[in-house]
Amino acid sequence: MNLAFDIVLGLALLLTALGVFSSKDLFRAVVMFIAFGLLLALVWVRLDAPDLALAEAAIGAGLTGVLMIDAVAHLSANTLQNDQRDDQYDHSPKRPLWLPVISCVGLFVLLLGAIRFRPEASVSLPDMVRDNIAESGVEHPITAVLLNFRSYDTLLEIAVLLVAVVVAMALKPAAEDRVHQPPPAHDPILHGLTARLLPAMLLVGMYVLWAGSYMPGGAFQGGAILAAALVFLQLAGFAVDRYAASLLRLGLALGFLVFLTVAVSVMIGGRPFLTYPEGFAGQLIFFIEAMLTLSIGLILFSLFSQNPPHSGAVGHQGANHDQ
Amino acid sequence: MTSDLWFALMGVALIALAAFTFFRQVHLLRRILAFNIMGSGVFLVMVGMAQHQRETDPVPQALVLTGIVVAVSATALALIIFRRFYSVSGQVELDEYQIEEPTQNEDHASDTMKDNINSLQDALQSDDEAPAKPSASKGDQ
Amino acid sequence: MIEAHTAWYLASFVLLLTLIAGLLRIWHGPNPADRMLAAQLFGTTGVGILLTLAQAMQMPALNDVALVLALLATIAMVAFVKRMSPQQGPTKSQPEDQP
Repeated sequence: MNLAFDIVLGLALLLTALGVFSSKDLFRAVVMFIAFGLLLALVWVRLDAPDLALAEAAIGAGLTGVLMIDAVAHLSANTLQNDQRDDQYDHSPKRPLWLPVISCVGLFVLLLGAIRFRPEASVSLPDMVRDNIAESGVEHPITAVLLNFRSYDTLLEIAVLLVAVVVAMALKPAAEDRVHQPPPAHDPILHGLTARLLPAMLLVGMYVLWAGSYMPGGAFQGGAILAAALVFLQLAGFAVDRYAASLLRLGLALGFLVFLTVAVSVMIGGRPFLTYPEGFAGQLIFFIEAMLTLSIGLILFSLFSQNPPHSGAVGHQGANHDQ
Repeated sequence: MTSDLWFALMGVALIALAAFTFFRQVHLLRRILAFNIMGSGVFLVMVGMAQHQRETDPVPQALVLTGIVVAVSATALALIIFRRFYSVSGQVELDEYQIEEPTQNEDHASDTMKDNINSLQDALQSDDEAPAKPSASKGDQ
Repeated sequence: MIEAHTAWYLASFVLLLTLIAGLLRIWHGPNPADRMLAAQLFGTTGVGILLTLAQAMQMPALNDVALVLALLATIAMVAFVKRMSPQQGPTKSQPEDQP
């Protein structure tokens, strides 16, 4: 029963991916992709990884889907001759077939070989985590790994996110497009939905952050939920990014700055970089996590809201007349 | 065969198929989708292989958790770059076979853009239904 | 006890099969709204699978996952309605549209 469930789930995942790859209609591919994210969340559950399922549920089924739908809407809004999309799909058969086939088969064989002839692990990481979890300041092993044992990764990750959002800001066209946008029409259904869902989202985000110290949850999942809540607010017509622009920018860097400050300030006491003093590890980790949640949420939201507005590019569509 | 190994094999298949699509398709949005799925395949292999034969291993799960968040921000950035590229060039694919001189290309683009804006404004004034076309014709498929 | 587990697994298996039926609707659905609604039902069924699996695998943390999924699955739908609908989505920038 157990294995049958996994086999069907795995095949469904593969089928969905095939649907994304082979769909002629771009929108269908995007909806398939949202379904793929949901199935992937179920796969993480079956792999005993509820943390990943939590992150995938918030990101794969929520955020990425919104980003992709937004991009497709942008495309179809600016493509007046809509049948052109099929032309673009039909362009592909003109390209040589050997490169995709070789890379596909080669990767498949190489990866299968790597799985079949893998070396034995020289250290047992789960045992090391179990032996040291008492000193880490938190009870949940994944949070301990993320913010104590391998906190370098997390520090660099938030730095990478910060760089991504800075690049996105630099790519933003001049602000002239924004004034043209009409004020959003009042939509009673959406307004009611926002009023009911948003408090619940923020509450669940806080809960997930808090839960991270003793059960699945933590800064990444909480940040993803916060980002989804902000995206929801933006979609509902509240221009979050315009009302609080300077505050937003401070929030973007806050997580990284706090993390770096803690990491460096422990060196004053003669400790190595990024080690927490005994007894304070739990509090410090929670403080850093709270700031990280805020920053990750704001960064992911900014990456959504930095997109060029829909009105910007309507006139440029026909520039590919030379095809 | 355990289910961890099964999901790792699914990850391998996803990576290979996504690589095929990535090289085969020219539409940039489709490539972004394929790249995303390739990343998910890598995550599946990492977690599936780590837990195969042993108990739950928190270290790869933590790494993959970081990876998921980085992947979504990379996707968002790629989409921003794609939309910027699209609004500048009006194309949804990179011309790999006809690489023009950059300066010539720019002049070309701005000229055609002006033409297009003019013709589009004319079209809009004469025909109010024009903007509603995309979504209407999409329904036929 | 073992029988209860098997029953929960069976329930989640049946839900998984309905999920695959939903996949067919996403593939065939003649217009975008059909596809989007099917994806929305996908989210609802996903919540059901997560809750039954939480019982079957004795993993209470999955209830949180189901909660998050139930809250956030709506966002894609809101994005679809706001961005893809002809009245107020892509064409709102056209001054000719406003009466």
